Amino acid sequence: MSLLKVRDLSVTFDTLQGPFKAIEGIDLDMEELDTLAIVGESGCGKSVLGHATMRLLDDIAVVRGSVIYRGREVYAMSQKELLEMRGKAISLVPQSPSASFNPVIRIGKQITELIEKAGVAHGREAEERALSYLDYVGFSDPHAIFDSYPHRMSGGMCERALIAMSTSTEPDLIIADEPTKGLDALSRKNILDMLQRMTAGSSLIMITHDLKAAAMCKRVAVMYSGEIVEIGPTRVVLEHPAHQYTRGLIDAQPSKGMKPIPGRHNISHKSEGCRFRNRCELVQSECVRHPLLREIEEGHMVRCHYA
Amino acid sequence: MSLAKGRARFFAGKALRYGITLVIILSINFAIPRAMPGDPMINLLGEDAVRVDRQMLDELRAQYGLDRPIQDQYIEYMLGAGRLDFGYSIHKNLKVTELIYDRFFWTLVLIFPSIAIGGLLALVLGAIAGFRQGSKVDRLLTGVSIFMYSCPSFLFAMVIVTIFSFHLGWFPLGNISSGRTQGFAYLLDIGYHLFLPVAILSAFEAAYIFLIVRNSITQIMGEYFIFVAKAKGLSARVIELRHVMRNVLPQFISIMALNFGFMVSGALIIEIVFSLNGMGTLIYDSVMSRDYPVLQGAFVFLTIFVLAANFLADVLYGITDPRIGDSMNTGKMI
Repeated sequence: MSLLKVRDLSVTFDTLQGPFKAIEGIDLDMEELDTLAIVGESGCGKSVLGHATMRLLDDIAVVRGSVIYRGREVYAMSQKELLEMRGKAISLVPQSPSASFNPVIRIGKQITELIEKAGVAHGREAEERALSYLDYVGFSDPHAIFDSYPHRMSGGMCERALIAMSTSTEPDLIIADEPTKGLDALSRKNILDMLQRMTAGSSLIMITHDLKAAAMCKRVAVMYSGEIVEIGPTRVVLEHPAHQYTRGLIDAQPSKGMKPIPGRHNISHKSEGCRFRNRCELVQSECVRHPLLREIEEGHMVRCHYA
Repeated sequence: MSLAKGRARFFAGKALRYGITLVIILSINFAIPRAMPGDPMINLLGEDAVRVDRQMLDELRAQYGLDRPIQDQYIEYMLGAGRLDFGYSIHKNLKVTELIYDRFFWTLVLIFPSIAIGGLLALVLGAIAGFRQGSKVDRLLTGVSIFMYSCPSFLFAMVIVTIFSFHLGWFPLGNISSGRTQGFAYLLDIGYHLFLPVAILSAFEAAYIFLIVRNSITQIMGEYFIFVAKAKGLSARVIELRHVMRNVLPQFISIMALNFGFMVSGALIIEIVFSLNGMGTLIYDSVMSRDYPVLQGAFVFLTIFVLAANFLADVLYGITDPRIGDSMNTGKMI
């Protein structure tokens, strides 16, 4: 049985300007100890997908499709089951590390409350556990961090403390939302190494716009305008990309000459057809028809008529 | 810098600021009556002044020290203020300080319970409304609060007195006690007399702070760390009590402390409606009878009281919000 199965998931936000489709027709499968990177530019729906997986979206979000965690439909769970699942079975490493901790509660207390809530340990034992996880993520003085308030720590320190918190319950699946956002190259490398080490016993979905970060995962899914446009083994996708958008992302990296993708990301894709066609250099007549995600080789799928 | 040294520097800085504020207010307090058009002695004597001969006016002026150069008057006034000595009341022939001590005590008896009850009410009702935003309870409570907040307190107080004291006869019309009881019965009697004024003041306090608590909750509920708390699978109750209310606390406590000053002015109206002998009636009577020494003394007392409350608010904010507390420890001004 797979760990997580997402089927035809779509999320629509009811806004004053009318309904806005954030993600559409998402299918994903995660096995035990699987690692998947979801890449794409801002607004492509990757964070919404992460939040929808944990049923964390606001009431204004209309969610269709299904998310099945260990054979149980997340969207059919009772409130109690849902609270049990969050933080214990599926854990989120939220983005914006400095804003993720409550400013008036000590870091240690915020980690301990999760450990206790998850029923992993209680009281003194939970505190010890929190301290050892702070130690695992490389703090030289875990006690000082435990007693510290978030504002006394840098963004990178908060990120490490967040990873310590999110992994302290030994979850089955960790969803890391932009763990390298806003970090310099050295911190980024440290965080990625540490994330890899800390999530070794779990499955990992890493949401990122950073292809270097994505490279540490076994598979990568590329999202554009709310859809998965390419998914496959990381090496295959990053070295032999089949979708023109994936190629654009790769060429846009600083190490590849920072070549921008022409045109602009049209978030409110009202038109039919391929959503990338107004930016695609290889656009052809068939592109007015919406392409389906199809397998072009073992485990490598792409949403393009011509790939 | 060491923590203790930083904290000491912070408090020294604060004390200096409050000291300067106090000197400025005392100076304004000195200047206003002297800047007013007309002769203070003629104001003091009212209509009688036209019948008093010039020599007697000069004597009176000398008696109050008003014939001396303005800088001498200022220095003497400031020295007096330093000793909390404001001379004698013109009409009551009592030391201003003694008069104020007595009246201030009764004002505190009126406002302390009102602040405690009002604050508690505001916290509980604000939480109920804030966590159920848009619900019927929220709309009802918010509506009542806005009504109370915009309602003139004297009008509200008079309506309450008319209904509960005059028509229903459940409570006395005014005064602090009926003056016939002693011991425990005396305290009960005071409680009975203070019930309506305290209830009204509490309601006004609650209405104002309710709106602050409710809005504070709304704002905090939208913070990212609340989303993170949800992602951790914490129950709504834990999130509300631990994560949200803990963040409301610094703002709540400092508003409560700041409100001390406003409560005194609120109490002024209520004291007049209920004929209670507090600071409010003292100031009112002094204005009516142009008893300047009493007025000046009363303003200085209220100023010191409000400044002390502000200082308390600063300190409590630093204790309840570590971000502010840290900036205190580093001696940094905020």
